[in-house]
Amino acid sequence: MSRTPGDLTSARVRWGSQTLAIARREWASLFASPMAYIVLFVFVLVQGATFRFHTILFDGDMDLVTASTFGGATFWLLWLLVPPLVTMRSFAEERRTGTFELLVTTGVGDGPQILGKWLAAWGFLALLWGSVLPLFLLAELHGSLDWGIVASALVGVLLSNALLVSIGIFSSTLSQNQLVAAVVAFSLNLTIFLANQLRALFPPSAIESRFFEYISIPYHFARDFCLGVVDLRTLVLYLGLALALGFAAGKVLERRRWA
Amino acid sequence: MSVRPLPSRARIRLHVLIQLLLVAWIVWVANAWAFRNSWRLDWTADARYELAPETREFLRQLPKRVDIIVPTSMGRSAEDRIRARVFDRAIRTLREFELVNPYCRVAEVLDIGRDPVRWGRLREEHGIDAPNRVYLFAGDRREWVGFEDLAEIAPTIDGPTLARERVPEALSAALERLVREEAPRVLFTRGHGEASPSDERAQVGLGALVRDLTERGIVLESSDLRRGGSIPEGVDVVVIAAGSTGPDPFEPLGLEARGEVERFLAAGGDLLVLLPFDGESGLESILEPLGIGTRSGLVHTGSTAGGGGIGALEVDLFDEEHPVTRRLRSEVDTVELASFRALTVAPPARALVTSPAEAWLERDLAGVHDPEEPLGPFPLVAASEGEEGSGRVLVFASWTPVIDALHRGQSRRLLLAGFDWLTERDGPVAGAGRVDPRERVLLDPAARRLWLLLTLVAYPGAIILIGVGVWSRRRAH
Repeated sequence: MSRTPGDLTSARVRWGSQTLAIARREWASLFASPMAYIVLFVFVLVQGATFRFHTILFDGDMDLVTASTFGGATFWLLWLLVPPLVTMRSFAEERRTGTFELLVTTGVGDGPQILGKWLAAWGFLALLWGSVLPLFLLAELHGSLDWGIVASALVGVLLSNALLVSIGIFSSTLSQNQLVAAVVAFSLNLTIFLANQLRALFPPSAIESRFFEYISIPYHFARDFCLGVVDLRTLVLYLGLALALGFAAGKVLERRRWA
Repeated sequence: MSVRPLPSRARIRLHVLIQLLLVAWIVWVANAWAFRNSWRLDWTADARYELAPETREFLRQLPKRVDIIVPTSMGRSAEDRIRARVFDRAIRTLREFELVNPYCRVAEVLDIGRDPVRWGRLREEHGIDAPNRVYLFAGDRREWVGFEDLAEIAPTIDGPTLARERVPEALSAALERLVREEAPRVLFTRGHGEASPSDERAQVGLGALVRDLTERGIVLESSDLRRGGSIPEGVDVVVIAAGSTGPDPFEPLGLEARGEVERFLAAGGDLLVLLPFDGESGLESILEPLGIGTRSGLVHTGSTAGGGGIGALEVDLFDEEHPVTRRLRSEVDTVELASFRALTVAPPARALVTSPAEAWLERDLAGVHDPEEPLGPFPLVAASEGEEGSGRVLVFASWTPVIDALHRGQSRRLLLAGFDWLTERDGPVAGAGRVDPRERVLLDPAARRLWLLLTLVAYPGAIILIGVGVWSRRRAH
């Protein structure tokens, strides 16, 4: 029997509402424990200290302060470490405690689960990185800054975090152990990060160098986002890989039905 | 009833593998498309990485492969920090060039202190001898751009500051010089008290214009038409700047000089005339058949813009079609000009810049409109392009835009756009240089203490308080 357009619409609505329900549940569980606030506190403290330090170090040059806030050592450390910590529990924990099977029996599909968890984790990371905005507002009170550069740097952070969340969720589907999931995600993040270093192994005009330039996120930040430029290519790269990893995560979850 | 057999695990695995490969292929194709169709948004307040459409077009049509090497060696002084910033900007601009045309390739960027071996190899291979330059190579030809071409440092009480930078302009000009088969030749006439390109005096000299034209790859020369000089063959544009700040006042061109200019025009040469404030230029018999004449008196609007003297005026009426003013029309609202007289324009000439209607012809230099002084609008800049084979003529109703004091801002862009049109490359290079756009947040000791309190205590503390509040409320429930 073929599906009518009405069936398809209601299926889509159900899919969307399931996704939002999962996202809300994940978001609420994040903030139910003090852990989210502790992470936010440490994050704001570290960012506040480095922001103030950079403002004094660069003699108030806000272009350089913005570039350091979204491209300095502290930034890359947080960028590498925080997403695996946020996503490691998404599927690994559910599978370990058995709530995953419970969720499946209620008729929630793999797609809404992955997308819902992705939205919750990405939303939390957006909140974390968005917490630096008051620091820039404070700077604006004492002078003026180019908000276009701040906006493009934030867009870069949000886009790259979209990819990192997908990596984290994919890693979380691979194991029931949170720590393993976090280590796998961190390793994959590190690989992407180190692609930038591999560029130096080849002459700048070599095709290998251009390939590593293309996939190197630190290079994208240095060349584009931290300067106030948003490139369509990075958008396609990050979102394309994020979608592919989300699809792969779905296939890993689907494996339980036939393996 | 037949029961469909369940697919085997191997078959499912194969299906999953095919699906994953398909997704990977789609991602690859999307990225391959995006790689070739770069779409970049410049969100900076002053659009500092946005290349002018003409520069993009010029880069797309680059006839040769260009390789670029940028060796740098910077110290820790304030000036070196500024230099490092300018070279960083240059490298970023070159990468923007490369995105437009991959054959304009940044081949090497290196700090010679960190990599002396590579520097030695580059010196040997390419014959380059000094760092802190942008070297451009196209086949066996080469050009270089130094810091002085890219920016200017000005001393201030707080130490050296970046006064002006013109990175995209200098790099575009170098590229054009490199790939252009023949550099355009521009000849300034002299002998009648004309403003001279060899006059490098501050404010009243032509140093800034000469630098701009040289950056555009133009070869400058001059000829004394009064004392038997001629216009050599191969000259593309003749400039007659009919005014003087020197000891000798300008005198109208004589019969011989006029004859020489007429011959040049008839042979297809292009002419730029910058008229004196009043009196004759000696070129009336050449300009009138082209539809361009002059009126006496200085155009005035009562504005103090453009130098503040009599005749200073803000202009907002441009010819939207003509190459000289088309780009300006799309980018700026007004151009400040100083001390212009009025032109009369009839076909085949066309007025490129016209004064506002409320302007009047100031004849008694009182700076107040009298009833007998005619009201505008008045043409201030006009162009005429004759039939096939005859040259282009551009007339400014003032000679002042060429001197350093007034060769600035949009007036400078207008004049340079005129040169681009006359040399028949309608503006591949972006316009005037910019002042340093960087913003600073300067903190006094009190502000530093406030920042310390807000960033390290108040803000993180507020988050912890919210967390404790939410958590205790949940526990209470």
